[in-house]
Amino acid sequence: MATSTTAERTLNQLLIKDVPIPIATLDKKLRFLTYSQKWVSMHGLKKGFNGLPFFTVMNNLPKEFLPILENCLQGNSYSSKGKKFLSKNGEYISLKWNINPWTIANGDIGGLIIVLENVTSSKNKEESLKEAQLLSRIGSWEVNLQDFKVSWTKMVNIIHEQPHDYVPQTYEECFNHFKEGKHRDKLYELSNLAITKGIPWDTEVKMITGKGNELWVRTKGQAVFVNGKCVRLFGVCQDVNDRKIAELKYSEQAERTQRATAASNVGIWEFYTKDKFTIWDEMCFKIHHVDPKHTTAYEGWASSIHPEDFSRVLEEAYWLSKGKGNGIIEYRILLTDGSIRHLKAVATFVTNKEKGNNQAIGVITDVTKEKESAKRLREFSEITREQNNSLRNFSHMVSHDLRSHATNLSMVTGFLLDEKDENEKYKLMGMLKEATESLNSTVHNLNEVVQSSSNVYEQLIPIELKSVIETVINNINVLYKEKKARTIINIPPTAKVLAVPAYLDSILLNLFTNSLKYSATDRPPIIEINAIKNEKYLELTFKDNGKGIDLNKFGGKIFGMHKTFHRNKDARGVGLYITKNQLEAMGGNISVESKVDFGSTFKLIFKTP
Amino acid sequence: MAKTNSVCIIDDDSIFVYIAERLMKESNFCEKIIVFENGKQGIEGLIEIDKSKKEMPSIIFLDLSMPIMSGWEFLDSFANTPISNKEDLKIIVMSSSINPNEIEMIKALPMVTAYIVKPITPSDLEKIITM
Repeated sequence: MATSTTAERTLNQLLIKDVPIPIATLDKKLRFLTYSQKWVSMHGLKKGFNGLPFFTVMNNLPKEFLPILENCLQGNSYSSKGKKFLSKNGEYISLKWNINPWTIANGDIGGLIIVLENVTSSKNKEESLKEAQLLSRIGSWEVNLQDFKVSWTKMVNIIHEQPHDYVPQTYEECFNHFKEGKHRDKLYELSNLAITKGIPWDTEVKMITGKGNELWVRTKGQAVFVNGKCVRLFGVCQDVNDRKIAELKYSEQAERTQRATAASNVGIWEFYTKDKFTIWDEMCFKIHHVDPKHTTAYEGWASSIHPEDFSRVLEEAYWLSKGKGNGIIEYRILLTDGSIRHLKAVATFVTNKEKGNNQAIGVITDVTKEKESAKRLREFSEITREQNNSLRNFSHMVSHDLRSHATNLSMVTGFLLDEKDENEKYKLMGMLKEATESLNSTVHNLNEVVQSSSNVYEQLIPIELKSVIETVINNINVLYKEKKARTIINIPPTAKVLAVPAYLDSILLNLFTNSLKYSATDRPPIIEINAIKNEKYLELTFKDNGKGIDLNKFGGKIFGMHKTFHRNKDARGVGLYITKNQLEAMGGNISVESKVDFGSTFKLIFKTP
Repeated sequence: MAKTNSVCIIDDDSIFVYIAERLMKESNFCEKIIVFENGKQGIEGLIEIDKSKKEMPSIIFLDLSMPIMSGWEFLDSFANTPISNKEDLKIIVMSSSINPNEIEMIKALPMVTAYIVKPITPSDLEKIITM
């Protein structure tokens, strides 16, 4: 029991009451003796609990606190700079305390002096705000528009890379930190609107820091009005440089990607094997000529793909999902107008074993142009190869023929110089003439070959076919009669072809002389000529009943330059080779069907007027 | 005494035939020369000689480029023709062609003894007789 006097107690109470800390004194039985005003406000109590037990008053304190107090009553002091407890009403509270026993005159412990601070709310709120401001690099500022005094937090200076004690001296100076040009102008405009119309702003602009660095900041501001007059501007300033730069970089890249895919006409797609679910981008629909409004991607694919390619593509996709193949699948699509486009897909499979689902992702492009040019290239190289071949044959033939004539000439001339016998001399002179004529004819033929290879398109004129045939028959009258030949011409007199007159003569003459030369020995030659005309071309068939040609043996060579140069008198030079060349030069062609001992049928195609 | 009895020339080039005959006579190459204008005449002629038991030529000079039946066709047809002692016959192919492919193809044929690029010369004849 306390031995202090009432007067003492009253004094104590008065002293303690106004101490600006939460302090209280307890007696030995832990009943309140005195307490400060601060204690009351801090712990949310109502005054007038003198003499009441500590735990009755402080009913929110956890029970762990009792042994602490009891321990101190043994003469110990105990302090904590902050400890977290679960309070009886279930909230965490942080307490900070300092407990000391007090003694009476004989040295016995009379009770406890407790300083107990509840630091729960104050600690958390203040620190997290500080942290948040620091982390988000937000500073706040204020401009008094009456004296144009500016004040702002340290963070603004940190963001501005200015000395910590820097503060702009004038209103203008506030704006100098924003980058000159559109950024600074924007801020002028926004602050003007805030001052005149009270519209707050929130925008992102570039500023130049005290160290000369460019920096993106977010600035927010609003005006305060007193009696309809703007007196103050305040707001925050946040460093958003990293985010903004990343954002700008991303949008630039995204735009570039979009532009690139749009320009390269690449479609991007996804496909799930399990349910055939397909995702197409806009370009995919465009490439497949399918309207996204009317169909899903898979239906669009299935309806546009060429029916002949459908199962093959699914099969290739299956193998691809098993990791086979090079990831490229090509197919054709059939458009409504009947035309065909070639598409090329590059696919990668992503396997999801758990779900038993394979996902394919890839790109697709229209490669029709490439396909077509590749085809043209192949055709072109085929033509080149053919021309190369025939040129090589041609050169061998020229060499062969010129050599043989030249040799003959030189030998015969040699004999002639030495010959004494007049009869023999005469015979040699005849040979000399013959050899000279052969050489002449060879050179003539060479000319024809060279000329027929050059472009004669401009020289094509319409010619009546029937009258030309009749003229040619007249020209070979002697041989024709000798062979007792007959010709049936089933061509209307008005039928015309586009041809070079000299070529047409030469072609027909060649066919006639061939038929007569290689006529059957047991029957007179009968030649039948027919013509079928279609839109652009006239097809002329030239049929004889001669010896025929063994096409199995000569098929490929018959229009080539092999075996075509004969020295015998009636051989028309390089024959069928020239015929073929002349026809092709005029935009036509020639083919042959033949049966040994029955005859040959040549089919000639001419352009028509 | 001639170096060999009878030879045969199959060629449609009358000038070349004349030249060859003249060379052969001047060098006393053979007793007798038989001439055919093309491969067909050649085959038919040789069959006729074989049938009538006349003396078979020991050397055939064959041109390649001929109408009706070329040298190539002659070689084909000759291989399939029943003529006695065919193996004893020497076939010399002659041509003005210097096409390497053609020369290769001819040399690959076992029944061809030699290939001569025209014109034929006395030294060609010398070589042939020793073959």
